[in-house]
Amino acid sequence: MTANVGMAPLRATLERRLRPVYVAAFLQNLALWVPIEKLFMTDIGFDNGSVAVMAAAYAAVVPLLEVPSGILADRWSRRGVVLLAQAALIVSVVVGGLSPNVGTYIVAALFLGVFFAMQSGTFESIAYDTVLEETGDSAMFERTIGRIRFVESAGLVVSALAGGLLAEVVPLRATYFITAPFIVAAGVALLGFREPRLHRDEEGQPLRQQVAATYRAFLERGALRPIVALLVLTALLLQAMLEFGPLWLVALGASAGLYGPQWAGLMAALGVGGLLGGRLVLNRPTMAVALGAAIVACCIVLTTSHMLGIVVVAQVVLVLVVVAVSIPVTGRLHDAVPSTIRAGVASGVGTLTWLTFLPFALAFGAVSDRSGVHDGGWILGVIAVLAIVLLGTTVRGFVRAPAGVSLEPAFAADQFRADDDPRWPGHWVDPPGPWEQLLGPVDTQAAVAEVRESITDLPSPQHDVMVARDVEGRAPADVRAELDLTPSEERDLLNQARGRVRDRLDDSLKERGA
Amino acid sequence: MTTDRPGRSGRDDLACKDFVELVTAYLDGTLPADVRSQVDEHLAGCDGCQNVLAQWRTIIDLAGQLTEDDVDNTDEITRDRLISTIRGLRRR
Repeated sequence: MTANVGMAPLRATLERRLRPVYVAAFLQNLALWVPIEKLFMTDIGFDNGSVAVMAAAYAAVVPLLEVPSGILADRWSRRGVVLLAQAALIVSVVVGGLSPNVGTYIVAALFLGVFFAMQSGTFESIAYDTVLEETGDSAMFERTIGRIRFVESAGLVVSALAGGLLAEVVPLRATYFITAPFIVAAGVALLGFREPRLHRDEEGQPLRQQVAATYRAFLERGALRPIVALLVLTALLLQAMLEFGPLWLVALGASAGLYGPQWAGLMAALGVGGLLGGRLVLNRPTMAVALGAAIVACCIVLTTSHMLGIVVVAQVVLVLVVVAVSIPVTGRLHDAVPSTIRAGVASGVGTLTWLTFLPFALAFGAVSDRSGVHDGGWILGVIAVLAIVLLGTTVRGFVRAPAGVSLEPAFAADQFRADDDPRWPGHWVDPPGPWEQLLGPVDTQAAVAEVRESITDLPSPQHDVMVARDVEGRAPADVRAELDLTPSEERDLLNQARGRVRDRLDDSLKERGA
Repeated sequence: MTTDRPGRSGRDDLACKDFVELVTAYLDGTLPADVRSQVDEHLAGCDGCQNVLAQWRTIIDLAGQLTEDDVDNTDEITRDRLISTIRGLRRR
C-alpha cells in the first residue's frame, strides 16, 4: 500500500518502544486463580447469594472510579496509573488468597474493581500517544492496540488452562499467590517503558463535553434508546455467563481441572463470536429469530440440563451467539451518533451496563441461592426473550437505514446559488478548484491516509458500500446482493460516501496548503 | 473560470447541484443516454464540475490503494466493550 511506503523504520522504532507494554500486558493477564475462583469461593463459605452480592459490589465500584482514574491518568501519568492499578491487583490477589471468609473476599473483589477501573482505557491512551509520537499520526494505532489485545488474550487463555491444571496439584488458594509475582514482573516491565508526553491539561475539557453529550444522547435521541437497551441486555447475558457460569460447574460437582477448559472455552467463544459478528448481516427478522432461538435454547439447557458437558457447550454457544449479535447492534449505535460523541455514548452504554448488572446480580443470586443455579437460569431466559423482542423490532433498520443516518451532504446547500437565483440557479457560488493547485501534485501518501481515516469514520451503510466498491473493487451487482440494496440505494450511498471523503480530503489539502 | 457564469460556461439545463448527485452514476455508466448527454454538455463548460469529477476519480484511485482491514470500523466500539467486559469479568 502506498501509505505504508517508508513506514517500516518508524514501525520498528514504535515496536521497540512498546515492547515493555506488550510484556506488561501479557504478564498482567496471567491470572491463574480465575478459572477456579468460584470453586475456592465455595470452599470459604460463599453461596450463590453472596457470590451475587460480591459481583454487585464490584459492579458498583467500577463505574464510580472509571472517570476519576481517567482524569488522573490525563493530568498526572498514564504509566503511573497503570502501576497503581497493578498495586491494587496485587492487594486483591493477596487478600483474596488469604481470605478465610466471605467478608474478606469481598474486600479483595473491591480492590479488583479499583484495578479494573484504573487500568481501563489507560493502555489504549498509552498506545495512541506513543503511536502519535513515533509516527506523527494515528494511522498505526489500530494495529498497535490489536497487538496489545492479542497479547492480553494470550495471557488470558494461558492462565485459564494453566490455572485449572495447577489447581489439581496445589491448594486452590495457592493459585492466587503464584499470580502475584507475575503482576510484580508486569510492573517492572512497565518501568522500562518511556511514557509518551502528549497528554495535556486541555484533555479535561473534552471529557466534560463527552459526559454532557452522552447524557444528552441518551435523553434526547429517542431512536437510540432501543439500541442502547438491546446492548445492555446482550451485555447482561454475556456478563452473567462470565460471572455466574462457573456456578453451574460447582452445582454439578465438576473437578477443579475442568474449570480451566470451561473458562478457556468461554474466552474462545468471545473471540470467535467477535469474528462471526463482524461478518453478520443482521437485517432480516428471520435471521434475528434464528439467533434468538439459539439464545433461548441455550438458556433452556442451562435451566434444565444436569449433564456437565451439555451445560458447558450451552454456555459457550450462548456467549458466542450473544457476542456475534452484539457486533452489528453496536454498529447500529455507531451509525446513530456523530463521531464527536461516539466514544462518550459507548462509555455511557458501558457504565449503564454495569449499573444494570448490579440489581441483576442481586436478583440472580437471590433466586439461585434459594432454589439453585438452574432456576436462576430462568432470569437469563427472561432477559434473552426481552433482547429478542427488541432485536426483532429494530432489526429492519439494520444496514438498510440510510434515512436514520445523519450524514451531512458533501456539498452543503450554501455552496450553490438559490433555485430562484435570477442568473445561475443551482450553480456554484464558489466553484471547487483543482487539488493540484493547492499543493502541486497531490501528496499521495498523506492523501491515502486521509482517505483511509475518512472511510473508517463513515456511518455503516455508506462505509460498507464504499469499502465494497472502491476498496475491494467489487461489482455493483455483488454489492447490492450482499447488502440487500436496490440499485438507486447503492448508487446514492456510494455517492454520499465519496462526497464525504472528498469533502474531508479537500479540507485537509486546503489546510496543508494554507 | 472560463466565463462570467459561476464555474461553467455554455448553456445547458443541468445545475451544478444536480450534477454532484449524479457523479457516481455518471462514472458507473448507468445514466440514461439523454441525461448523460446533458451531463457531458454541462461538463464541457463547467470548470467547477470538471474538478469535482476529477476529484471523484482521485478518491476512487486512492481508496483502491487501501485494504479492507485499513478501513474496518465495524468493531471499533464493540472490541473496546468486549475487552472491557473481559477485563472486568474474567476475574470473577
